[in-house]
Amino acid sequence: MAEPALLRARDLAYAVSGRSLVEGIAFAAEPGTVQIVVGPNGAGKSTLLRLLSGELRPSRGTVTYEGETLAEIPPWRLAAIRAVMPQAVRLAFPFTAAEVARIGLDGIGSGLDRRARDAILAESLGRADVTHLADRAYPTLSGGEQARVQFARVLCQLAAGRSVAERQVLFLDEPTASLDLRHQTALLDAAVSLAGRGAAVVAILHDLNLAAAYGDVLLVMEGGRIVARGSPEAVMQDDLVARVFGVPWRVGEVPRSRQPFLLPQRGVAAKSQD
Amino acid sequence: MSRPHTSLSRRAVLVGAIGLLASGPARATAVARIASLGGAVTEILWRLGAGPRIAVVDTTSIYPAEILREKPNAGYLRALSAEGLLSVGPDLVIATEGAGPPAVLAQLREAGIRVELIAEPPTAEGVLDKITAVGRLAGLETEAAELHRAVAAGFAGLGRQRAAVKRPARALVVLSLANGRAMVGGRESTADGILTLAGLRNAADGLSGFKPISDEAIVAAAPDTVIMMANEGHAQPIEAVFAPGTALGQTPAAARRSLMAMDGLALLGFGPRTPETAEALMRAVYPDLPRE
Amino acid sequence: MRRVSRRRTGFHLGGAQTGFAIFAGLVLLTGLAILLSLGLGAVRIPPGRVLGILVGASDDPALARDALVILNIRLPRTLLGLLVGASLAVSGALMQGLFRNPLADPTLVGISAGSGLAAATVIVLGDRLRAAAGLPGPMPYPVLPVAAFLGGLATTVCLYRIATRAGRTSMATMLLAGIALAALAGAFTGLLVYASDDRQLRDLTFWPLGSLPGATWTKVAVPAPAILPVLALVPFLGRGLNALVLGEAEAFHLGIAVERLKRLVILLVAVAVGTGVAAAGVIGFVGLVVPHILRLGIGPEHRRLLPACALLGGALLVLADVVARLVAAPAELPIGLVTALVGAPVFLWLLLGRPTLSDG
Repeated sequence: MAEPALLRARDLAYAVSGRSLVEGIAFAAEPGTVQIVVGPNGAGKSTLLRLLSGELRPSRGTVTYEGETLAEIPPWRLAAIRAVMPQAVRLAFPFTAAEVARIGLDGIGSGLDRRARDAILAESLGRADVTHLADRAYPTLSGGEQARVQFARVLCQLAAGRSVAERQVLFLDEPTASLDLRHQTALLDAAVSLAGRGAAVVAILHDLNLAAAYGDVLLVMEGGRIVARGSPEAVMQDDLVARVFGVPWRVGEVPRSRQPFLLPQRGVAAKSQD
Repeated sequence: MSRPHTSLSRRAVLVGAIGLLASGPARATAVARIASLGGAVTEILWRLGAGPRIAVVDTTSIYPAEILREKPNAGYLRALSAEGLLSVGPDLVIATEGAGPPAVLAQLREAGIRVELIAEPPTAEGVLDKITAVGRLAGLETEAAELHRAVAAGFAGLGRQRAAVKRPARALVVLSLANGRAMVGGRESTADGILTLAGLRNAADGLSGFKPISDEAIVAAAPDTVIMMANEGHAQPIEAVFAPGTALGQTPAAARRSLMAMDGLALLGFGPRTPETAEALMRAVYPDLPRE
Repeated sequence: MRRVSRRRTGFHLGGAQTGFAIFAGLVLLTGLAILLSLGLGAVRIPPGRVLGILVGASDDPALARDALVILNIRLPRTLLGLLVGASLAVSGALMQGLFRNPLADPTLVGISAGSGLAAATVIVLGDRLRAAAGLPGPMPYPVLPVAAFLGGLATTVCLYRIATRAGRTSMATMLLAGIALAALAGAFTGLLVYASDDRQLRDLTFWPLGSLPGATWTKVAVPAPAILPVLALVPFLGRGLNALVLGEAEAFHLGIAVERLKRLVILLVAVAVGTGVAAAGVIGFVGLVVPHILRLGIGPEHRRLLPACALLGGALLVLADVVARLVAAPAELPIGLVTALVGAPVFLWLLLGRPTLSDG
């Protein structure tokens, strides 16, 4: 390998009071890719994301960014390299949507002048489709609107960080959970286009159909381990879906694009459990 | 931080100037205006005929009533305001020991005002010394000597009558009775002092100072009589104080229905009225005591 | 004016201008408070003379007493009021940002109670300890404030130790531990009440009401070196606190050294509250009401909020002090009484007079 991977994890494990949450993870992310982590509840998806983003220290193994050990990168430098869109964020104070998004700009890429920052903010608000909400108090927005504002904040952070670091990682933790269909696709389209501009995208999704539509690579987690990885067509097989997710549904295929899909059926989940 | 320094040096100049001003006429003639802080001090000044010269009093100066009505009030003795006192323009501050905060007294002294603190031991000698001290400070030595003589005679008469008390009764001084919880005067309190003068034994001598007392301790103290405060006519009815089932209701005092309501300042103030108060107390408890 | 400006932000140019106007207003208000505090009091001094004395133009010995009133009584208590008010309001805003809870307040987490306990200990046991150690005379003045400061700091360190596991400080644990420590400090203060004599008892009852009278240059000089650096550091905490409001993980993702920020904020609050309590007793409501009022006016953004808190906190405490000294002149009300009497109804009025947080 000529140069170290943008993000790489080796033999990653994390345990809390003797209970292993994540184990034996090998992972790498390169610019331009969208990797989607799927798996049932409690499979360790969020823990993996928190380990990769530096929020948790692994019990074993290492995470490196451009070859540099994660634990040794100070937070302010890390903030320019990777951004994280969290699950629902609630605020106790009436920050406006624009103020929340702008927090992503503060202190990151400090070389930017005021005009450049205003431009980034305006563009990010537009891409997240929250420009019309800019002056609304964040706590008064709906869950989906709040999620889009958080996405705008993440976009701000990446754009500001790009003035320092060309190659970036974007983590998304169930970003579409509270969004309507149009905003789900809009957000994931935006993520794909960020990948096109040199970012590595790592997202957790529960919706296998969205995962299949947007993922270059699907990582299936179960019991803290990655049990399958590959293209959506390769990974989404009847037996794997039945084994990992406990639903005996047949995987379908969109006729021309060969994109796999899964159509929920009533009352068949219970039979295959246990 | 340059401000404090400049004005500190300016202060030195000021103090010097005021010192010169104050030491001239103020010492030579009798003091014109007095800030009288403390119930007993005010009472003594009034008895000495210095009432009109009192510029300001404190919240404990409630006797005589006209003082309370007419004079500006500087608030609580321990939470005085330097500017408030300066605004009434006193030449002399006579205050009971414990007046403060100390920084305020220091500021008054800085302003060239003489500040004198008077000790208050709750004894006959304490009262007499107070009269002499206040008289000297106010420049009324002659009047003070006269009052001293009268009050000393009162104490002497009280002492002779007290000698006839054979078996001292036990008395409990209840400062307040809120929600059935009694605050009483223990050892080393002014309550203890007045009981001693009146030939009574403090039933609460297991405590020191004014303290809340438990129900059991009240029963154990077994007072023959209970003395309560009657400030501004807030005396509690005897039925309420000795209500059956309450701790006070199970004392010998309740059986004898022996309850006295007395003016708080007269009882605990240790001023010129103390001999009369003590005598009234003694007479109430020992009605058969021979008179002089 | 508040209703309209509340939603204005730095996003629009108009928002920045509104913010500027409010800041200018706060500076004016502070100036007005200072003028009133220097000009009003039990001693009547015409405004012209006040000015003359302040600029040092009047060396007339006939005015010596007026000069003394202004320079040695009103000026130090004005400065002390500004310092203590600013530190209380800023501490309130810092705690609220740290705990992500608009109701957090230094009194809530026991810092004030710890300071109060230390002060009570000095009042009740100080003389006895000095006597036991064979030292002559009464307690020198600085012992009480220094003890109060150390008490606040010790409480904070305890809280921090209890709430910190494996290098991470749990704010929820800290809040709960704070309530427990406050109760404990209150209980020990109660014990001291039983051990105290009459004089000490009266000192104890007056201590928690808070007061500025007796403010001297010494009383300004003791807390100033502690409070001023805190106020100077505050503007640099705004960005971190903004990010922290999103959550600790989010703040870390945004490049904030979260644990270091939390430690710094806790230390600053302990210093500001400890010295504030030491200098003026426990003064309630400023730390709660001032940040709240300002959030309605200029929004919750901490880089604007914190300096504004310093201004409004100082101005309000100075004004409360003016009220305290005028209402009952020549006597004086405890300033804590005034802040509570004025602060609580204003707070309720604010809560009633605006739409709730959740109705847009």
